[in-house]
Formats: sequence, C-alpha cells, structure tokens
Amino acid sequence: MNMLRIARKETKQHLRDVRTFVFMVAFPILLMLVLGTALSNAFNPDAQFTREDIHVLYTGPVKSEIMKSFGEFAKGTANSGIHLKQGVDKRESLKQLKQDHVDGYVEVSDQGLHLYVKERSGVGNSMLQGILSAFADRYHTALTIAKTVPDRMKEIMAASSKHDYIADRAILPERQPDSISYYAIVMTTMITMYAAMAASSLFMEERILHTASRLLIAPVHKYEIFIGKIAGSLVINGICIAAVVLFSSVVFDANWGQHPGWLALLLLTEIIFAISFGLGIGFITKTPATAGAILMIVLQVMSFFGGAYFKIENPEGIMKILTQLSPLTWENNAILKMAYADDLSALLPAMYMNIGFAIVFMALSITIFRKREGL
Amino acid sequence: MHLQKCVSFFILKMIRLCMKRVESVNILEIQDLTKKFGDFIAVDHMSLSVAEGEIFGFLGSNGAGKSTTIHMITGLLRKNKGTIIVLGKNSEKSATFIKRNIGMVPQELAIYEDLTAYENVHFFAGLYGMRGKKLHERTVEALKFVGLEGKEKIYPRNFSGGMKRRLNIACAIAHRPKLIIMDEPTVGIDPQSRKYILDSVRKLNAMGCTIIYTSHYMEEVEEICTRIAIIDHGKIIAEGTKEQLKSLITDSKLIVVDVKSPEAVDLAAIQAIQGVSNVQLDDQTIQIHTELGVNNLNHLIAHFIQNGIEIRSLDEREPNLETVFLTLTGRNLRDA
Repeated sequence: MNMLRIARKETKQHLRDVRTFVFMVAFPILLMLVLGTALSNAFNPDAQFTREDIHVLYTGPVKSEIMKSFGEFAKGTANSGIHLKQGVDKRESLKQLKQDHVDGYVEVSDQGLHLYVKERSGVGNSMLQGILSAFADRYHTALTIAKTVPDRMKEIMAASSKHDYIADRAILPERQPDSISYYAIVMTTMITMYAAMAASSLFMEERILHTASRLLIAPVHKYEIFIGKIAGSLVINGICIAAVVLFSSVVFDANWGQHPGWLALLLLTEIIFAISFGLGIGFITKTPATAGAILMIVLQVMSFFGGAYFKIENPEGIMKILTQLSPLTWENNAILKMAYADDLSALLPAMYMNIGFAIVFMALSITIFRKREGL
Repeated sequence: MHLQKCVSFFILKMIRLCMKRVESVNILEIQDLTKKFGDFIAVDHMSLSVAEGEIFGFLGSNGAGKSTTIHMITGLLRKNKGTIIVLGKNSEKSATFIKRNIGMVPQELAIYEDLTAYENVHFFAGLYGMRGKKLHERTVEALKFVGLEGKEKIYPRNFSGGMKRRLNIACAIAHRPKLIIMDEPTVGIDPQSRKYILDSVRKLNAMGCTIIYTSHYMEEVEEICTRIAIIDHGKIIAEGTKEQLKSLITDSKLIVVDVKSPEAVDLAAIQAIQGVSNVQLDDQTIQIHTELGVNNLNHLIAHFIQNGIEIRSLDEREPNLETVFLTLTGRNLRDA
C-alpha cells in the first residue's frame, strides 16, 4: 500500500513538473521535426537526380575509319540521353559551344578524341567523358581484333551502338525510413535513455529536500520506498515515451511498424534499463552534479554512436566497435528492422541486453542502498 | 493448597501489572546509548528517561550529539551500543510499533514544494496506515491545528517561512503520535510564528502528547520545558527542572549592562577585570558573568566611564539557563 502511495506521489510530482514534459516530450518532438526536415534529402529514397539531355557536336576526317566508327557509335548514344551530331567544322562547332547552343564538342582524329566543354566540372561532363572513354576502349579493342580478323570490326562497332551507356541502379533497398520516421525512432530511443538523468537523483532528491528522514521515520520499509519511487519513475517515463510515439505517429505520420505490442515491450525494457543505469550512477556518486555530469557524457556518446543525430552507415574499425557498443544501436536496429522489414529477430536480443544491464545496475544500487543508513 | 496457589498467582500477576504501569510512565528510556562515526564518539554511553506528559528540553551545542541521539530514537541511525525503549517496547524488536507512535519535526523543512499543503500532510499521514475518510479528517485536523485551514490547496512555495514551519509540524502530528520530537522547530521565523508554534507545543502537550524539544533559543526552552537535559560531547552533563539546573550554579551571577555605544566596548578589557568569568555582547547589551562574592561592580562601572561608554541601564540577575549552560560547558549555546 505504501509502495503505491509513494509511486503515486512520485508520478504526481513529475506530472506537475513542466521541465519533465519539456525535456522528455517537447524536446524530442522538436528535434524530430528539425532534423527530420533539415535532413530529409539524405533519407528520401524517392529523391531523383534529374538528368537533362546532352547535346554534343563532333567533327573529323570524314573518310577515316575512326570517324565512321564514331558515327555508328553516335547513333547508339541517343538512348543514354547524349545526342552526338556531326558539326560543320571545328571553328563553327566551337562557336556553337561558346554561345551555349551545345554542351560540348568532340574533335575526332586518328590521334584520338579531344573533348571541349565550357566547364570542367559537372555531372554532364563526367558522363560525356565516361561515354567517350567507353568508345575509345571499344575502338581500340576493335582495332586489335581487326588486325587478325578484319571482317569482324564492323560487327563489333555495330554491337556497341545498341549499348545503353548509362544504367540507373537503386542503391537503397525497397523500404527505408524517411527522415521523419528515422528521427522519430532514434529520438524516442535516445530520450528514453535520458530517463537515467532523472533516475540518478531519485533518492538524492529526497535527501536534499530532507523528506528522506520523514519517509524513514514513518513505518515504511526501505524496500517499499525503493520500489515505490522506481515504479513512479517508470510510470512517468512510460507516459512521456508513449506520448512521443503517439505524437510522431499521428502528427508526423512516422512509421513504427505493425507490432505495437513488441514495440511497447522493447521501449519498456529500455526505460527499465535507463532507470537502473541512472540509479546505479546516482548511488556510486556523491552529488547530483557529479552523477549528472557523468550521465550527460555517457548519454551523449551513446546517442552519437547510436545514430541519434545522423545515420552512421557502414562504420569501420573503432567506429564500428563503438557503434555496436551503443545500446541505442541495438534499440534502433530492432525497431527499424521490425518496422521496415517486418523482421523481429533483433527485438529479443535488444530486450535481453536491456534487462541484463538493468539487473547489473539494479543489483549495484540495491547493495549500496541496503548498506547505507538513510536513503 | 490449590486456593493458596491461585491467590499467590493472582497477587503476582497484579504486582507485575502494577510494575508494568509504573514502567510505562516513562515514554522513553535510553540506557548506555553509544554511537561512533569512525573514531569519533558522537554519543557516549548516554542514559536518559522522559516521562509521559513531559515537555522535555534537549540542550546542546552543535555537534554535542543531540541530533544523533534523536536520529537513533527515531530509527534513522543504527546505534552501536545500548538500548532504546519507547512506550515500553524495545526499538530493535518493535521498530514498526515505535515508528507508528513517534512524530518527528525535523530541523530542516521536510516538505514537497510541488505538492499542496493538503497533499503533503495527506501523503505523510497516509504512510501511517490511515486511509479514506479517517485520513482526510486527520489531514484537515492537523492543518487546522497549525492554523493553515483555508490554505489546503496552496503550494508551500507560496508560503512564508513561518507557514512552512507550521506545515512541517502538521506533517508530523496528523497521525496523532504519543511522542513528538521537535528539532529546532522555530529556526529562522518571525516572532508571531514562533509564538504560534510555542502555543501549539503547549496545546499538543495538553492533548496528551509527550514532547522532546531541542532549541538554540534558551528562552524558549526555559518558557515551555518541564524538564531539561544538557548534552555535551555526547554525554548528559546535567538533567532536571529549570529550578534544579539553576540551583547547580551557586558560584556566579550575571550582570547585564545596556550601553549606548556598543562599538566602543572592549570585551577583552572587561574580561580582565577581577572576578569576571565570561563576557558577551548581544546588540547593545553586555552580559557579564562574574563570580559570586567578588564585589567588582565599581570596577566595571569605572571601566565604562573611563572609556566614555554611556550606561543606559545596569541589572544584576539571578542565573538563567544560559548561565547554567555556559558554566557547565564553558561555551555559549548560540555561539557554540
């Protein structure tokens, strides 16, 4: 009964504390919105590079073999959006280029190909260079073959004209979170870990307020105070995290997957882990300031390597180890897999890790709590 | 033969019952109580008893051991040695029973600023097993007792210092404890609130509560306490009624001089006058403790005149608790 009374008191106090809601609810929602909007292009799988057609003039000795081959090659490049057209002469072609009527000019000669463009940089230029390199390679190959089998040269060059030189391939798999959904998930798991901050001062607070004496003088067992306060903290953090998930889901349309039960269970175990972690640090340090400073550093590092601020893709070396060590990586991976691949395989390991670490820190807290006179 | 046995058994029973009644007159009994913090002995083989219905004053300087003793009585600290018996029950065997019957008003405010006055009292009183209508009635009753009726829904952060102190008391009395321990309940409050609290202490006592009262304000202790113990270095050095304690001081008197320009007073020079054992300056009043039988009044007056200090009044007083404390411990209670 006293346990419930203490838990209720704890919940009531936190519900009245504006800072709790600003930090645990408004702050992650704001971050979701800011980061999700600012970095939307980096996440959007539907984002496309708009490629405009490239128009190029070419000139060269009309009767030469290379010119004939290039002419054949030019017919095939139209498929790739590169239109190679024979110019009148070099002077006229360069004039057209200077006046921006074309994007490039290619001078074909027996010594090779010379490409003229207005600017060296640009995606179009790179593509043009790539396509000309492809022609040069094929022409050299064809020449080599022609030395031994002269009849096959025309056939080889004709085959190249059917080639699509620019192939678009999607690098990302089919379902990936958009930026809002990504930040909804990572901000929620991050702020859940921040429950450790409040938990670290759970008992110190009573000592500072001197209400610890009153609680201990009353006919209440120490374990009732311990469990009551933790239960209250669990409830208030649960309410805050549920509010963040619901808000992001309803207002931002974030995708949390089709398994709300598993999601709730995972976040619950993470809250338990965060509270235990905060308690442990609170018990081994002497002042709330020290506990707060330690937790702030650890949580920031955890958040950074857990991908809370930006996605860490394919980390290597020490980065890979640090990323894998961050509990937020376990949580985020589990939720992302569940929501976007309907894969629940990472859920249980993440939950086991949460509970395992929670037991370690809780055992540490209980040991110190039992030995200590007072709270 | 059988009848004889029955009669003697009955008589023995009656004797035991009577003895139990006699024992229960003492609400608190401490025997050989000791508490150490490392090598430091905070409470040194202390023995003490407080009778039911008393307002028992606990006097001692900072670090004398009174808070440590109080914390051991209330179960906040574990004792190293000795026994504590409250309401006839041993503290080790009946901790819960004792806790149910003790109310503690701590020196520091022990209230939640983010709970209303009502919620504070309701929460703490609820920890004593009350619920529902009874809990509500006791909460209202306690708030009314300390004069906070009509302020139930106000948060303590909006209270004055005196009101917070009163709420601090309400939280300790709502469960109607038989023994109330008040640790410096009037620190830092206005005279009006102090008067209110002292009246409340008397009222609680009149209602049947036994009170252990500690204070730095000697006049408060002198005003309300029926019996007083002076504690120093973890030991009780004197115990008794005010009169009994004052009678311990037979070899000194107190001369109180009210001066116009206290800044010109040289305490060391006064201390050097023959027979003066201690001098203190409090605002414009000089308290001079001097040995009984030494006629040094002329010397004292001459000193003031020579130094151009105008005397507004001069009074020779009987020893008070301050004198007693000073004589026994060698220190002034408030400066200690």
